[in-house]
Amino acid sequence: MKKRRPISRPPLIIFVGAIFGVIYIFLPLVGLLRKISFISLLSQLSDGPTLSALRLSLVTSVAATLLALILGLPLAWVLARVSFRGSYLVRAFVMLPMVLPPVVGGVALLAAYGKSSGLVGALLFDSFGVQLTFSPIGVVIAEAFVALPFLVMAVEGGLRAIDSRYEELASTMGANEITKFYRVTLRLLRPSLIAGIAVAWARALGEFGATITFAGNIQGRTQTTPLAVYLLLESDPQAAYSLSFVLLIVCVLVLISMRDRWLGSKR
Amino acid sequence: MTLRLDGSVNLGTFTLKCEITAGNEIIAITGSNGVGKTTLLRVLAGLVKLTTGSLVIGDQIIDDAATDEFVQAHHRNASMVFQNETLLPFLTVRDNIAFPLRMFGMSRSQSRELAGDAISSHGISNLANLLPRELSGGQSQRVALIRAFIRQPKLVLFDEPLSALDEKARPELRNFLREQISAVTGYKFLVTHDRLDVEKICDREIRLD
Repeated sequence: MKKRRPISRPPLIIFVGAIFGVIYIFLPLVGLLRKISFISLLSQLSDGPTLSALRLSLVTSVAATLLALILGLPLAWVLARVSFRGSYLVRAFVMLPMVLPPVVGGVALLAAYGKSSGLVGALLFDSFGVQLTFSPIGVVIAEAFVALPFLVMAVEGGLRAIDSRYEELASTMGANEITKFYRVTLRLLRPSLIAGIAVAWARALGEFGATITFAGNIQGRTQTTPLAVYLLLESDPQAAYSLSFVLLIVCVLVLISMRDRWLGSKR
Repeated sequence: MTLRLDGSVNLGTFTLKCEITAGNEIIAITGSNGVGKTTLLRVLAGLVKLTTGSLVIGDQIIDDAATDEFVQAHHRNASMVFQNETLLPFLTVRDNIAFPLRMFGMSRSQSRELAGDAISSHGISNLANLLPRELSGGQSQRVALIRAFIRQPKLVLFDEPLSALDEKARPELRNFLREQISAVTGYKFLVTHDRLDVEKICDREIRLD
């Protein structure tokens, strides 16, 4: 489709503003790239604490994304497909971690799952000896807490956009509810599901505030990559830059994988 | 055996009330827009429950608002075709045709084989591996019709299957539709606006108003 030519040019000030906007985002990235020593990048990343932070981040963020998926898919389903009183309230609650300061999220998680005085955490510890705080599982809980809304939002939007006629057709062709879900709904939902998983994973990977509050900053146990970056900035800035670079690359890859959706390169 | 529908559906502000008796015949459903022709098909397919009254086929109660008896859509052996977009967009022509066979309990390979046979017997082998978005309007309606008849349906519910086609494609597909639908033993309903469809395909006309 040909783009229509605008009748009047927008005022110059708009262009100036837009250019500054781009520079504002771009400059820090250029600065970061300038600090990277590509020769020592590998050796810095394979350094003990750095490597363990990367490994922990990978494992916990994947686990958190899975948790968000397990909880988020049914949640998105209900929000998209079931009409009930107060559904907007439920949605508002689910979206809350998106706007909440992560450190507040961490404090709230402590109040719920804390070992000594948490709402259920005390019960868990007294009855089963399970402690969620300051453990890798705590990291997963904190990450999933902030990632969940991103997943729910993408999947709910996707579910709403599905033409229900395809699902109805599948039923008339003999598909029961479960088959219909696996073979038609999930298949139609795939792009939104992938986008939701990608953005939830990126959010989990970058989680800082809730993690350090709820799970602490124990090297090799709860110190994820963002926490390691923050600490390394004092002791070994070069390594901090290298780790940041890794996170940046990962996020760029996530963005590229979703280009159709967000960057509007097609259609 | 007869099909008897006597009841009403209430969808918000819209109400459809009708009384229909059908045998093994092709019935044209006509009437102006918004009168509930599509809703009638959806009731027969089991996609909408009756608000009052009942639907009985032979001596089996299919839908009864009073007793809440209801045979679900996937147990009714119905075939639906819409005006367009009847094919599942993520399946190839072959897999679309195989889909109802699969749901019927046939193995993957067997259903694909049977679908392949149907495709070649209709002379469209060249389309077998295409996705619906790669087909023309006429081609996709043809595939939808082949799929609709791939396993002997008991209920044929077609909602203006030819109306999106251009004048050139329509007569040929109309003949094809008539051939296929006449071979089915069951209850056959064709929603249409086209007098030619009524005259050339159908045995009887029911006008909703």
